[in-house]
Amino acid sequence: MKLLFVTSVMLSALLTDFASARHSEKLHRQASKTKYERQDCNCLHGGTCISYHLFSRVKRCLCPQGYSGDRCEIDVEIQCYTGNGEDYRGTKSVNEQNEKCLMWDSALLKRWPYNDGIENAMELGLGKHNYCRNPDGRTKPWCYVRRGYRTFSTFCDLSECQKQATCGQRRFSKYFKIVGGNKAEIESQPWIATIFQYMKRSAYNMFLCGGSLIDPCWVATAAHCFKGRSLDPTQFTVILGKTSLTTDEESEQKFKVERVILHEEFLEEAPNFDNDIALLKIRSSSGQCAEESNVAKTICLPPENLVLNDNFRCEVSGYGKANSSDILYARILKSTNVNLISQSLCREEYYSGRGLNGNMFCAGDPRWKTDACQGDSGGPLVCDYNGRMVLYGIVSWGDGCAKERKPGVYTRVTRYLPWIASHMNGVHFKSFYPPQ
Amino acid sequence: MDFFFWTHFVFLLFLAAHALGLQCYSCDGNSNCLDSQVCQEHQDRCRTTVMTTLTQSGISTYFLKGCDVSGKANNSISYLSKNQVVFLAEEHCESQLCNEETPNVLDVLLARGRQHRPMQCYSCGQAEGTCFNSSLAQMRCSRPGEQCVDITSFTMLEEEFSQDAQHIKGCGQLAHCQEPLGFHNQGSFYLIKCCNASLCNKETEDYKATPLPLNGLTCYSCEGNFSHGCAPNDITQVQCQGSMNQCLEASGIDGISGQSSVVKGCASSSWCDSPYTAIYKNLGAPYTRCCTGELCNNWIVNESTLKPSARSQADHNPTTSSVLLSSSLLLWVAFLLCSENS
Repeated sequence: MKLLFVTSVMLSALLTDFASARHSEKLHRQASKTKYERQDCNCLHGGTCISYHLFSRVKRCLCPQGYSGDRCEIDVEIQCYTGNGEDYRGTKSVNEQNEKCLMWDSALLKRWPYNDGIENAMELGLGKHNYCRNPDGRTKPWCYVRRGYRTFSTFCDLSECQKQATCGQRRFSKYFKIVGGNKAEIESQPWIATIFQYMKRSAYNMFLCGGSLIDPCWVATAAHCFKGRSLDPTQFTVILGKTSLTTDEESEQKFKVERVILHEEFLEEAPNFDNDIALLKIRSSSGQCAEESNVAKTICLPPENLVLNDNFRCEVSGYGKANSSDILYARILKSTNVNLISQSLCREEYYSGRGLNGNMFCAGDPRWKTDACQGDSGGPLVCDYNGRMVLYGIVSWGDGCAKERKPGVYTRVTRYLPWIASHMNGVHFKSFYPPQ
Repeated sequence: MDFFFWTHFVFLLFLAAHALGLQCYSCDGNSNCLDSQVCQEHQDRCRTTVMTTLTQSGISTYFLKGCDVSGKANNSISYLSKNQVVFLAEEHCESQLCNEETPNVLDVLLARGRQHRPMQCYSCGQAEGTCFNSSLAQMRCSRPGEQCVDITSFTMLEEEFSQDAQHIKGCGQLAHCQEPLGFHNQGSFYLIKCCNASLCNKETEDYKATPLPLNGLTCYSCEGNFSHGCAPNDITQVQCQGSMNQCLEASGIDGISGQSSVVKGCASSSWCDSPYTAIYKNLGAPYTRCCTGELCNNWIVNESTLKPSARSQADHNPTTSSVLLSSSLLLWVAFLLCSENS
């Protein structure tokens, strides 16, 4: 009986512990639950996260055209890989001998090192599909195939993508002027893109804005270019390699726009444009992105922490008006030098009361002789960084053009690198930076 | 002696089970789970939410299981989202680990062939941009008993990371869905319509862009507890729209915090005794009252006016069971000592 008594006391102590442990666990769970309620679905490639209120707010990614998968991680269209293909997320599913790949969740792969069930399957791109992947750092994407009763891992029928264009390099550079300036050769600004909108009523393509080629498939521009316009991508055209808007050149490349992505927090109300940035995904009628040439090259994106000194000399270029009073745009590519202006000087002196914030910066000619002007919007402000040209700003707004103490205001691109990365294929993104 | 030992052991086990309360399977991901969780005091149901998407390349299923509050109902819908068919289903049950089974979408697909008179419904999703009159797609419902449904739900507060699936048309089996079910207050709008004839859910109205006409009734509107959300200063008035011609007030347990919570607004009479206040507002064991007079939903003004059914749930806190546990143990020890003496 004594023994029983001792055990019962021990048990009761144990139980009391249990009850208190349970109480603390509860608090913990409550915290994590709240976290879940607010969780993002982490949709990639510009997918939208939607939640179903009637079903405990269960969430799901709604993928844009060309992407699929639970997080829109699968690129339905890509046909090649970069590097060793670690980041390949396409849909090729046959090996070099044209044998069909096994599903990564196949029961046959349960004992193999790579399958749908391993811990970081999602990050490695493995799932309920049989697409080629390279989860273990081999030389190119591969998959398992079945021959008779045996399973083999074999390389896939995929080739490497054409070498990445070397961003921010040009054949020669000349400094020209936009307002009151001279014609610039397109070779000096091979990353500049022209965006046209088809006007149904008058049946012609109207020049809308400039832009910058940041990837063979993507053009960065200003969100305000689309202010009050329909965002139907089919009405827009992007042309690369244009020296003059009015003449068609043999070397120019023409693209349809697949997607128009405005910054979600773009503010179009006065007194300024906040988050004035947009991305266009381009593709030619034959399904290709931009091909590198002397008149079409990508511009590097700046490193995230890059802050250039005040008075640093950069270039801005565009096809806009030569004077703010002109009615017609210059229609030919012009380029000019501008100096970066101290943020506090611009915020407090030049544009006080206009809500100038860290998403913007000012640049102008020290003698107020040249400037970007209407029609240059969306175009690039590029600066030399470590021997490469980087896209430091996007032409956004300003009072008049080349007016004294009224410099041009530009979108600060370094603020938007995560935003750009989230909407583009993060994979290619690494190769956009200039070498350190 | 042995007999004593075992009865005591069983008694102890019983006490342990009581202290642990309801357990439910719990998971959140692409595979069904066998993990379980112990529910909080205010949670007395297990829930299974399953979302299955069907594409040309295959099926993907997402499981969300766990504890929940009482007062909700089983619902399911299916609709066309771009090139996918999305099935959503939610089930509730109340015994230990009862949410093991999941609504199986494959059964549903197999059932399709066997059905005598399949229902055709219009299907679209506002987030997908397909809810326009000119481009409404049609789908065939797969379960017997399914109706054509039209669900609008939106809140004025933007969520941080996701947007509501504001408007969905498709097939569904929704609880209490005969008359249109509607509720709105200053922060949210819900309207659920079901119909039983093929292609009867055609109407494509955007209740956010063009609100329904006012019906002349004004009700009090608030959501939250008595210190935040439904404090006297928080209560506003809202002009009722369309068929939402009653004033509603409901009190219950907030599903997340376990605190008493209140909801006020305009509702259709069909909504009043439906489970949708519990579902949309995550309000456990709700006590709901509807009335028809101007600003008549004014009974609940502070903790003391809450209905007992709600309070008894709120009072059921951890200390109660601990006290019970320790007192039972004391009794048991006393009993043991007595039996030894004798």
